[in-house]
Amino acid sequence: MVRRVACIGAGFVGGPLGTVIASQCAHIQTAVVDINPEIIDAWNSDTLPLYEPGLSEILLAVRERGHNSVRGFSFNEGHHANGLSKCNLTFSTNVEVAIEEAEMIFLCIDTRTKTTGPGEGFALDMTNLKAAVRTIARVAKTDKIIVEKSTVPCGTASTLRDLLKTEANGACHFEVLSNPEFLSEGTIISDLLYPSRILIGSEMTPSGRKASDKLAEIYRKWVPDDLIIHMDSWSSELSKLAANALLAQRVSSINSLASICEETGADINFVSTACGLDRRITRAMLQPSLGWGGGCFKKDISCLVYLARGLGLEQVANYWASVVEINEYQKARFLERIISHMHGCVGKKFIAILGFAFKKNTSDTRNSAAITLVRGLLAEGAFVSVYDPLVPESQILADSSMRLSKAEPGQLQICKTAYQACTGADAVVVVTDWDDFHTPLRAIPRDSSNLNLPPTLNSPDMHERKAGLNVRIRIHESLDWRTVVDSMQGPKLIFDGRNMLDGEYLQALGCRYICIGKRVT
Amino acid sequence: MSHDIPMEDFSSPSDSSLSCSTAPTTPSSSPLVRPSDVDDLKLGLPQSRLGESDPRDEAVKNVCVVGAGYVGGPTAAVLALYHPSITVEVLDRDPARIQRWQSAHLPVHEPGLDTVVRIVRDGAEVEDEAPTRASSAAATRAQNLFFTRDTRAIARADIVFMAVNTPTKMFGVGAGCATNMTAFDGAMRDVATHAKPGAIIVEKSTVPGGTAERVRRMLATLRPGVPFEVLSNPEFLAEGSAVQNLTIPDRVLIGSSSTPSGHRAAQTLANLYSAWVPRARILETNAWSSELAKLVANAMLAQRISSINSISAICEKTGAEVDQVAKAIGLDVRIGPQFLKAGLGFGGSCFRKDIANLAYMAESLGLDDVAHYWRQVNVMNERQCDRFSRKIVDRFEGNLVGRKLAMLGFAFKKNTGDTRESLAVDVIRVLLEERPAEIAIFDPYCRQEDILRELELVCPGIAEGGTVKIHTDPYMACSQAHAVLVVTDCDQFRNTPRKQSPPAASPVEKGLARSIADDCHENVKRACARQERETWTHAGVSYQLTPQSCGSDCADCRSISRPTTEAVEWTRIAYNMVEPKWVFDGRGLLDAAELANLGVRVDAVGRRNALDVLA
Repeated sequence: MVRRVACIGAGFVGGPLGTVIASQCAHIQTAVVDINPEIIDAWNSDTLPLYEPGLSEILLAVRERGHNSVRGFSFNEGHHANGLSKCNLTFSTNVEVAIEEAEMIFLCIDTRTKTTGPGEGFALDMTNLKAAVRTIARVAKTDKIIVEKSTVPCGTASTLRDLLKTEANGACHFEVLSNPEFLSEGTIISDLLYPSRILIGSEMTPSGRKASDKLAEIYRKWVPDDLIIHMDSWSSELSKLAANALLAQRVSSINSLASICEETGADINFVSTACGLDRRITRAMLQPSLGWGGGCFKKDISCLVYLARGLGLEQVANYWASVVEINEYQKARFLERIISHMHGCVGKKFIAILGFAFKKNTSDTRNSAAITLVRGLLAEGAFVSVYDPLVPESQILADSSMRLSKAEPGQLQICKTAYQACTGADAVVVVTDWDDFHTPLRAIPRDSSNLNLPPTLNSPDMHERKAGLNVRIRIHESLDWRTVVDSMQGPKLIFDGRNMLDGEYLQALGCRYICIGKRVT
Repeated sequence: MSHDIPMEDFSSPSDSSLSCSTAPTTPSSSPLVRPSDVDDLKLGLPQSRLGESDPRDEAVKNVCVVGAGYVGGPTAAVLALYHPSITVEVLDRDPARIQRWQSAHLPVHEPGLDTVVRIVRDGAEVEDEAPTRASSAAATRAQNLFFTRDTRAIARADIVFMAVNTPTKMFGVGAGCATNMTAFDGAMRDVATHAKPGAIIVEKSTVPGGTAERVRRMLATLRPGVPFEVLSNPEFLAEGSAVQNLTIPDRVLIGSSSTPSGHRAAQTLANLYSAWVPRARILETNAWSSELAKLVANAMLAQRISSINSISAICEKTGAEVDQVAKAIGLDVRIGPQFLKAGLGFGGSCFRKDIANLAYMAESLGLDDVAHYWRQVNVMNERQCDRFSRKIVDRFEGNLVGRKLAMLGFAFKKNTGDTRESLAVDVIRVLLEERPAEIAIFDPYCRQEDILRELELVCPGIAEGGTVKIHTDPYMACSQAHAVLVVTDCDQFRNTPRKQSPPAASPVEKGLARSIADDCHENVKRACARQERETWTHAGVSYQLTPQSCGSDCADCRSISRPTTEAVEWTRIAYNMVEPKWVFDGRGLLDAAELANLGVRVDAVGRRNALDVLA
């Protein structure tokens, strides 16, 4: 039985993973380590470096338990941490000690898409991951099980095995497992506690299988046995890429059809509902929108495309590349649509952008459609005002900056409220599906992503977010569209990039409503 | 839903669409009404209607289904079953087909269809088993399904269903992509001429988006001033489970013109369905959306297959196993497990056709990126099949001359004898170019002449060539073969006893209520024995079927042969093969390790061969 684990990398994956393991397995001493002291300090403070619903509650409970067992009082079934230890979860910068002590090491290191050299824009940058593995090879004095949590190119497990063979002194034995994470920002804790499946890929040898069982044993504390699947590491690495590719493909498919709907009399909302009722298709991820964003989908598909190309499977590469193309096309098309509805010219017109993050409840702006829109509108000479409840002003400015050199001063304005952004605007564009932006008739959020959280962890109305050292506490507040429309100036266009607003309601308020996948009559 | 439903006619599929007998086509004459024709039917309209008439169908007394093909026949039969008070007439201009629908040998083979047709076509003794009813005395249910060539059926109908064939256009502008609407338009002209004022015209066939609008204009031209409503109500039937898809549909789409009278018409049709479909599953949209939704549903299913097949290509080059990947992906509830089986690709007529149609539509709207996106799904499918053929050639170092190849399966999917649109043809075409000594084909359901006819289409002269031989015995086909190709996912071909399937033709999915197809299964068997009167119970009602018999000289009765449902013995096949003894598993249904023990080399889709690992 594994008693000590280490998570290398204290980011979106490593931190929550370590916390959940510590909370579910009281007998396991969990160390989360990172070379970045700031992030570690934040984890050890009361202001966590990232916001995820439920995370702070779980972390607090783990710490409480630590305090209690110091006082000789243990909540956990018989396991007590040898009397003197406080908490079974530690955050530290001492990577080498953690490696030395741990029996199992989770690699939770960020692997970004390469921005230079061969495979630029497609391949993943493995520098940090390999550096960590070299460190393991160097400092390890006992046998280790190394678990890849990060998204890695297929075949990384065998690469790492080779690396360990050449780098290590040969005194101890290493097993490399692939155990891809399926976490999405905003629901990480719920994804960890109630996973749809746990994939464990190992070498198909007796010792590989044994290591795989050891990892499964940890998960079995809170995950039903039938959701834990053993396979070879190639398959599990590929599964991660393929799952994200298929999800993104669903969105691209429905978005490609939205463009057909806009040219014909069909309504994408009907089409999407009708298809979602088919049990073989299922309804998730069929909501027409401005396209998918975020860090994962594009990264994973690019990785898949790069892999296929490397294997000489040009058709396969093209097939998946088209999923990305449609996504870019969708954003560009929406921009064109805005411009054409404003009579082909947006110069000197005032356009409000509501929402800048790629999806609600996050401040992540990677691949957000807002970037394409804002840059495009600025290039066309429009005056753009942006409001987002979470994204910091500096981030918006950085993301929009590409064409700013050409832009006039004051062309881009970041607003503190939606009303401020919309006042005097010719057009309002809803980009992010924040609950705040719903029109009254549909005020109930349709998103049920939080529903499988235990009630105590479910705090949908509260979004706290660390910006610098301050924690912003945000109470969800519905936008009053009447005020917005009244403050706009003619022709009062509202572009709904998420199909989340009630068009009839808005039209009754005296504006024109344009959404995705529906012809404007 | 229409995974691969051929909606073409069943009599002469090899000809161009002009021979589509589901539809009254020939425009030059007036083919439909020929009073001199002896085959013309006298319509036995029921004198009295039995059972309480449902107040909901008050408005609807007569329904006409135009086209007695794969869609029209089963749809009409199920509609008639649930509405004893409505007279359902199926119109087709092909006398042979009408005659078959009236005989004991239906032109369409679907589990459960026989029984349903017999009840509604021949009448039955009905006994309500519900205990609440005071009298459970047997009553007689009159016939309410009729097959006819008489266009007057249109004139009687309150609702006209258009279920004619709409194949892909194979010539001119949009060849291979656009829909050939000749049959549909021909039938539509007849409907426009004969339909009574106020009739509701329902598109069942898969048609290009905007057809409802076009039909409206056509009616306005031919019958100016006469009110008609046009609805789109696409079918979602899959071959082998058509009756079940009709009785337990995932959803019923009704597309109407968004006018008050359009909504009323949609309501009338919805009422018809609500006799057996929960209201929540009946979705009203505008006609454009419902026409498009049909194409999209098929396109998205096909896309799932192409996606997993593209992954299988990666798997073959790396160490991953596609089945493992598919399982891992399918556990994500947002993706779901269905239609993620890697294989040779999708066959059948619907997927390819609907995607081509969708891409063509996008292209004509100027949406080239969208057209390209969806076309990739078909491209991937072709490549997948091509990869399979090429791999075979590669394994023989590019030389198939003098080799014997055996092919297990020919149909595009299991449990069907439908030979059309099978990928087997594409595989054979590529392999024949390598001039092998022989290609031996065995399929448990397909008839020899059907297979040859399909092959003739792509490789003219193949029947005389003698290279391709069709066997009725798998061991004969595989004897002395250098390679065996598994092309169809028939359970008979599996080598693992664990997955031994129940007898064929039971595609009922788990977790569903006992369906008609289940209920009928026993009866269909007994019908073959033709003894005592048969009974059938469905939805708390038990039906006593009217006995049916054919003349002693009935050729159909004699030619009925039971397909082999027995699993093939791989030991025997392997023993009689000759080196290098390759088995190419195009459907991923064989247990490779098990098979390798028999001394054969196995190459399965989506899995790296051990040879490549060494190399």
